[in-house]
Amino acid sequence: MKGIRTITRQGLDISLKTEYIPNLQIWKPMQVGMWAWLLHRITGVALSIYLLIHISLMSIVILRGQAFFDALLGMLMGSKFFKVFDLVLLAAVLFHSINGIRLILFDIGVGIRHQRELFWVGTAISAALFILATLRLLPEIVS
Amino acid sequence: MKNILKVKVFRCDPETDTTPRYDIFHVPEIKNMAVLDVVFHIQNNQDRSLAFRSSCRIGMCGSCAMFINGKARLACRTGVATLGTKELTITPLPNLPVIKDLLVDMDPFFEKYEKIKPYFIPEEGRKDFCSVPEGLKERRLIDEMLECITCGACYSACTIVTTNPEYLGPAALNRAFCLIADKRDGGGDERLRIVSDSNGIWRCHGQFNCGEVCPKKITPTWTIQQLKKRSVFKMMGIHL
Amino acid sequence: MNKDFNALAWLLQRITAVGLVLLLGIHFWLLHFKTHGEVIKFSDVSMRLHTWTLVLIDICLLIFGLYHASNGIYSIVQDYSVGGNGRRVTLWVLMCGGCVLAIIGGISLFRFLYVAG
Repeated sequence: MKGIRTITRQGLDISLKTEYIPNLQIWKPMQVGMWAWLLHRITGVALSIYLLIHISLMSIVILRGQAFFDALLGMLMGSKFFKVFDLVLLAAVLFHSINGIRLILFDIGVGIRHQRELFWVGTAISAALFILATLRLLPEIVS
Repeated sequence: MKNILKVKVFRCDPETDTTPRYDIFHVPEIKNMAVLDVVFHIQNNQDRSLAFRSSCRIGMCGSCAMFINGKARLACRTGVATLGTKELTITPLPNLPVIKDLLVDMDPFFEKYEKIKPYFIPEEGRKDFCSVPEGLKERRLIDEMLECITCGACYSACTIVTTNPEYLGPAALNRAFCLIADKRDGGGDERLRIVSDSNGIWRCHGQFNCGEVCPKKITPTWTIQQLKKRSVFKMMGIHL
Repeated sequence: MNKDFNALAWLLQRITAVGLVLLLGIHFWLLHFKTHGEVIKFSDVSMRLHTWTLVLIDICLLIFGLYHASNGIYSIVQDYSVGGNGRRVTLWVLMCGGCVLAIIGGISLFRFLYVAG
């Protein structure tokens, strides 16, 4: 095969390539494993960025002192936007942790044959907890 | 009124084309038609230059794997009726270089297969036969995984193979497990070291695409999990 | 023990994951569900941190969180065909960045503790 000229995917004309995005097409019908992986990765990156911001903000007290810290937290925690952001954060944490537990179950050899069911159960649990938290937080946002 | 299938086929001849294209063919449907019958019909009656691989036509050799209506499948084992539509789109397997039309270069796939030493390595110093009791649990595991026909569907379905061309891929890792877990083989430690490379088992994140497309119903994700377990135990000094 | 850093990193990722699920649960409950949405002040944090168990929880959160996030990011980098040098640089940046953030976080925890609030 070494003597035959080959055209790799990289060399293909872009108009055909966009029509044909191979691995992503396995999503219709919905391939649960792919969605789980993609959302896990997206929430993971988002939470890492959040962690960076969170540690930096909380540590601002070293540079700017107590009064600044109180003022900053007052402004943040008082704003409605922040409360909504908190809910978004919670959604990301819930999905990432519960799907993470699903992955750890696979790692110890449990449930690989039932990976789709585990995903739906996990998502249902995340959704239920999220709804509970939203109901709890809603009066504060709306008031 | 006979059913006519509208078949869109990826075409590209490196000798003459600079960009690929899709050709549309109309193929009369026959009873129990497989996609392999469709491409044979096109090649015999409509366009003799269509290139594709096939051999046994009964799902044993793994030659005719293609990307059919959004999923990597064996053309000989994919019934047109099961696709649920009269419109077919046939493209070559992703993640592998295209030689011509539906023909892909399987070299990268087999190079990775060879890396894990896919052959039996006898145990050093063994003078007698190795006894394998009947009904041994690990044999049942291995027997399921031995069904692999190296068709390349799993390798094409995995997006980690797409983004990291060095990743060994589901088929190679599956084969490695079959030998590592086999009591009779003596090369287990060496193979485990090879697959525990950062481009080996650790690149699997449980997408399960491989299990979805395998014509032999193997779940390489599961096999790779078994390898991860062995690797971690070895790291901790526990020998299974 | 054999020197398989990949296996060790993988295992620690799982251990920190379980740790984080538990610790974050406590962290969220303490900060959001116990306080009923009042604004938190420096003095509140200081008072909370005078219990050594809560200091321990915060320190563990810091270390576990930073390890899990850095290892996660490195894992993503390894999934792409980044060249050997790129990987080494990313690894060192993540390790050093992680340590720096851990130290900063630790110092700020101290600040809450040892200033009369």
